[in-house]
Amino acid sequence: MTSSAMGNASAIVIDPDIDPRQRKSLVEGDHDFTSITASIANVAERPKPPKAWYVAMAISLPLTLTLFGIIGYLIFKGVGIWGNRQPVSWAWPIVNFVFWVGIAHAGTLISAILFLFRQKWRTSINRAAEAMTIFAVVCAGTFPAIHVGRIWMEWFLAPVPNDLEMWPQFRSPLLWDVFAVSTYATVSLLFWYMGMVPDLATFRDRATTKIKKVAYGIFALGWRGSSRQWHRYERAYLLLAALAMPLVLSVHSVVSFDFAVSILPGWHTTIFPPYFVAGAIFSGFAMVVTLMVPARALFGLKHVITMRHLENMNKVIVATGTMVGYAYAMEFFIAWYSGSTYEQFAFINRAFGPYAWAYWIMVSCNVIAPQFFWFKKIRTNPLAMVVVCIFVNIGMWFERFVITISTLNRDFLPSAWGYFSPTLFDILTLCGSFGLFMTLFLLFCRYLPMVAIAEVKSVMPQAHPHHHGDDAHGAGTHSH
Amino acid sequence: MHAKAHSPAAPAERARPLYGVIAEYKDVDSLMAAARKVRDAGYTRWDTHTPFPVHGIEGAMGFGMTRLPWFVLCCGLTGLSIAVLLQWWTNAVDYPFLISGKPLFALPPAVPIMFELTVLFSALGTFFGMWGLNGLPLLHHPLFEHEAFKRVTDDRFFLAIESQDPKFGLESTKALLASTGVCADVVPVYGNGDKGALPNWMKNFAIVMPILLLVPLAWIVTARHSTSPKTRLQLIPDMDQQLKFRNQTRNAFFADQRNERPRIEGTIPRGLLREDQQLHTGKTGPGENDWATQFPASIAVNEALLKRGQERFNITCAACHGQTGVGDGLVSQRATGKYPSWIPPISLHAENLLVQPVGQTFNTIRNGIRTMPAYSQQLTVEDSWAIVAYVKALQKSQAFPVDKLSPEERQKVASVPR
Amino acid sequence: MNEHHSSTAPLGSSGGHAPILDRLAQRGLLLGGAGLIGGLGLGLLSEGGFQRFMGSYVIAYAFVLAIALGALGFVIIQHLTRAGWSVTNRRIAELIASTMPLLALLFLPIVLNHFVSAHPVHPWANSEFAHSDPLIAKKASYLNTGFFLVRWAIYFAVWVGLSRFFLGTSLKQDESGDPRLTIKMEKMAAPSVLLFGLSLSFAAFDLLMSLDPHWFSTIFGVYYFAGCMMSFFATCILLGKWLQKSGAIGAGEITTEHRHDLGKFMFGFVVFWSYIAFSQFMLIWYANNPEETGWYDVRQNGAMGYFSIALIFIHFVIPFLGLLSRHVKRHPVGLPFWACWLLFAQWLDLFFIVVPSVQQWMNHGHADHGHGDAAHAASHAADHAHEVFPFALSDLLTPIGLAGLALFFFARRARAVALTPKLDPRRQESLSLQNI
Repeated sequence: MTSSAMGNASAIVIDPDIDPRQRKSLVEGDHDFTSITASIANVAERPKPPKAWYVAMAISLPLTLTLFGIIGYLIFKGVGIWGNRQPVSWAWPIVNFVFWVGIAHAGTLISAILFLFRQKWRTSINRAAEAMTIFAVVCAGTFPAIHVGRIWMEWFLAPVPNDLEMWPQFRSPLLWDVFAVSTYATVSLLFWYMGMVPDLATFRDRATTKIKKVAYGIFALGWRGSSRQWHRYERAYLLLAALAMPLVLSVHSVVSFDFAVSILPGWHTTIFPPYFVAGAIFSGFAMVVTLMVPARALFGLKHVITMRHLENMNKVIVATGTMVGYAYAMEFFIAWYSGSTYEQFAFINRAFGPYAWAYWIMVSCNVIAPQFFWFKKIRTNPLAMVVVCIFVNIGMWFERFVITISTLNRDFLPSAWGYFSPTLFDILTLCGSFGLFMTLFLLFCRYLPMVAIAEVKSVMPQAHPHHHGDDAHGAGTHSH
Repeated sequence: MHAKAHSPAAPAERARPLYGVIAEYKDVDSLMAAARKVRDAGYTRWDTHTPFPVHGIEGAMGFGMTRLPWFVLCCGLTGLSIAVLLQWWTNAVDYPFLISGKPLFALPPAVPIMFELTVLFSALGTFFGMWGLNGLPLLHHPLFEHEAFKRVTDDRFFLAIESQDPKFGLESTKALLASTGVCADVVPVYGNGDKGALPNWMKNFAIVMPILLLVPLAWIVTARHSTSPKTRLQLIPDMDQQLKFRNQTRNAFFADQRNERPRIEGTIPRGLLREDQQLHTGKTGPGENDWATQFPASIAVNEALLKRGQERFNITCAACHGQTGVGDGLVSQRATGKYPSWIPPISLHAENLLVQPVGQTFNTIRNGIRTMPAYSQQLTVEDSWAIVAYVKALQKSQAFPVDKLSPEERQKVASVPR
Repeated sequence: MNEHHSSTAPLGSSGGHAPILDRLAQRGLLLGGAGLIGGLGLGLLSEGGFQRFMGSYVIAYAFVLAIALGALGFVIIQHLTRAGWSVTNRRIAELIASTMPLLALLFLPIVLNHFVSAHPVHPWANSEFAHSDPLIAKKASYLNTGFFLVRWAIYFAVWVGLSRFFLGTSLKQDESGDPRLTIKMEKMAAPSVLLFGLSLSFAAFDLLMSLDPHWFSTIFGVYYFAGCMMSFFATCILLGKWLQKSGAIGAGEITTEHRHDLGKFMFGFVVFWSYIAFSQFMLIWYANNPEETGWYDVRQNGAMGYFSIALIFIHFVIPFLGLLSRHVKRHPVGLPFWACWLLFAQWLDLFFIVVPSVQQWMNHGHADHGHGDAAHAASHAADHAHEVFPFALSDLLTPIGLAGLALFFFARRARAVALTPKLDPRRQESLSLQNI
């Protein structure tokens, strides 16, 4: 029975995209190691970047300069230039901070978690996603740093012995944030840089000018691809991934503690930590898709960043979007179930109060928009997916807006109720942070290996030895 | 083939020691086969070089697991311990203060930072430990002398055996490698004594840079020890310059340009009419020692006044003088020994104070004495008198003979924990 | 269900495994009968009487349900992610999930308890009492026996339906080897995971959280999910090991590599559980809101306090350190040892959730505190609970009993089918799995 059944089964023709009998190749087209190196290195080696790069730079650079200008003015003038007023004393700065920290989750998630889950498709997108992580952390870190007003007092946050004989207050979630975000920034940077060293060595060895050779050479640290070094390198990469995985979860959990340890209804709810993490992954992936779709077309990387990569990311987006929807539903259900008047009011106020418009933007962008990804046609159409992902990003910004502002604007004392309106400086600061993010990303695309060359090679079929022989792994040998 | 390269005749090559021989391969399979051969031939100082990590090569080369994870574990535990000790010592021991009713040190709010520092230290340990074990960074390596080796980061695979290997023989090793399916000649590689060292510009840089870095430091040190009459450069106003009129400054609004306005003749500002000299100064005459020995007429000495005095005393005075007035207030306790210049307050039960006229005590509160500051800004006149009354009561209470107490009072005193 | 995996000699061939599973079924039945009778007997003899036994029964039920739900979730997620590594382990999960009909049957005592008892284990099920307590009265439109029954009928429809679908389709593929069946299951997996997530969360609210009808926590569904997955991975490791050792599964079908991966997942869910449990505890501890702290109050103080600290060590610190190393996860004895340990930890966690609430609400609705003052009664009962550690032997025996019955059901179901998917298109990928 079995052999004839097998014979029949193998005769069935299935769309190769979903055929379970074979895994689709991660690199499209007829490529070998040489052509992979050449095609990726070409992004940085070509004499001039594509025109669209200049156009994007022309938009994002002025925005960056605007951001720097506003920061200068803010430091000179004080935080009064923003719209933060009682009762909404936490406003756009923290909304923007949480938004950018969320974006920062995709990179390390793709690098670490997908690595641990042996999702090999991560290899061609992880580098750019990690870079986005770093740049998003830079944008995120800007907001708490500047919102304190007197930024030269910022060393108070660090446990530095000082003449006041005073120490930071470690029981405050805001201090946990300082530790969490700075640890995350450090580890992401190490992870990104360590992954890049072999590729920087490739750039060094292909360099045509002395300056490039020295510049890439210094950062390549003398890498020579030794197998003994590769072995420790891979172990270290695995360890960093294993460390980064709980770290990713912890960062947004700690950010959620900023809200959730309080007793404000709408902020204090136990699902906040995992809910924030799911939302962060959701928004981060949406940002990666938004940027990778144009980048892969512009820089000629469609053969390594294939439609399968994008489709997989879209699937993660619909999954995490649904988790976020689950959290919204649970919050509402438990608010009712708690029997607590305050809880119930907070959520009714959210959905039908003065910020109902923001709430429904959030729900339609975050819960409804990603549902389009159930359809393969939309999931695999570059334009459609970018549109959906932009909606997701808008929705996730509004999620933080709704959480922060709709809880604060109506607190326990009705006489203190108010309505928050942003100032021009609020809006320009947010736009400026996008400019900073884009500028850094464009510079990265141009000057650094945008795709992990060595890693892509290692998932090509040619990279796998065909027989194992009698090599007991590490048997009877020294460790080193 | 490359006879010139290792000919002893060429004097220029003498300075270039033989590093080893290198073989080049096109694909993973032939590299793996070669690695097994070299391993089985008993070589120990050799390595393969590949553009990406080749899985299974550990077995083919015969080396074991790295010890890195253990190092990382130690780093993680260090981070964890530092986090616990830091939070406990700073917030519960060295600078204890209560906030929102939380214990000085409790585990739940300490966990986030414990976690973060564990991960941070582990990650730093992984990163630096890996480079350390790998012997990197390195400015130069003899293999980089081999031009074809550049393709190791692109598409070629190499196997290099060092001349330091006890089994190494130039011809025999070359022959062994040549039999392994190489795609180019097996060639010896020579190091370059000069290239391994730091280039001169880097050396110069390394000397000049620290010196330049010392300049701002030196500048700061000098600045801290010099005085200058010039106004300091103020990049950030920091609310130092405010829209207000300072004392003794010019004001163009008034004809006489005086900022401080003289009183209008024949008037007294509201609340500043101080007719009762005894009430406001504690004196009954113009002389220096005309201290009032009685409370002013407008102050009724009764239980309410004493209660008020007790309350004010415990708020305003007890921080230094202590609640019993012996001079053991918390500020004094903390400052004694810590600051050599600190002079502890005298006991309010000193002989001379017991007989001090109430007016003089009042004057001390209002205007301060020796290192004690004046409290006329913090206390109203009435409250100052209330404190005087309480201090007098306090003095009596501490010098009261025990046998004059009623039995109940005696029991009460005995029950107070010391 | 793992007490006896050492005694059976291997049979050698992987073909006729029916006798092995018959033996397993026999032992399961024996264990089930002994556990249930012992549990019931000791429960009735204990201080709380039948009501206390129902507490033990809820622990036992939640314990077995967690494993079955974890298995169902595992199967769905494997299809959702088109996983190849796990194929040879998937049948065990499918078979564990197919114990759902038995679990539906075993749910009847809880329903019966609602109808018959004056003091049901869920205090809100006594409608008279529910309306006398203002807080419970507010949620009576959700917490009432009628709606509870409807909800559980839906849950079981979902769970039985899904487990039947995935096992049935997978068995069909054993016959035909048709790769389109895999695609069918993959397509079905996406909507299934939604149904699974929602039904699991609300089941957790209904079965466990509402034991203390005053308390609420949005994360509770995720908390139970963490326990489900962890106890499933432990069970899967143990069953796979035993079935292989006794010869029912071929030596090369489930390898050290598979167990290494299952061990990683088990370890992962130890950490995930700790993350969720800590998030729930820390937020409630920090906010210190009387609406929520009551739940932890009865668990943190008195004799239960030591128990709760022990839970942190047994459910997190010790297994975390124990499973950290790669060598342990690949060790033939080490991994099953930690799997047993974690099943015990899962039981401990359920004890921690169930018993203090049952004790606290034990005397609800008694005549001496007529209307509304349930909180007083609760604190009174809680004071009593503080003095002695509220363990009853039935808390341990009843779970063993239900696990034995589930094992029996599993073995009967498994005796007629192949224990690994024979013609799954990704079988080869699974067999050649290598961890780096």
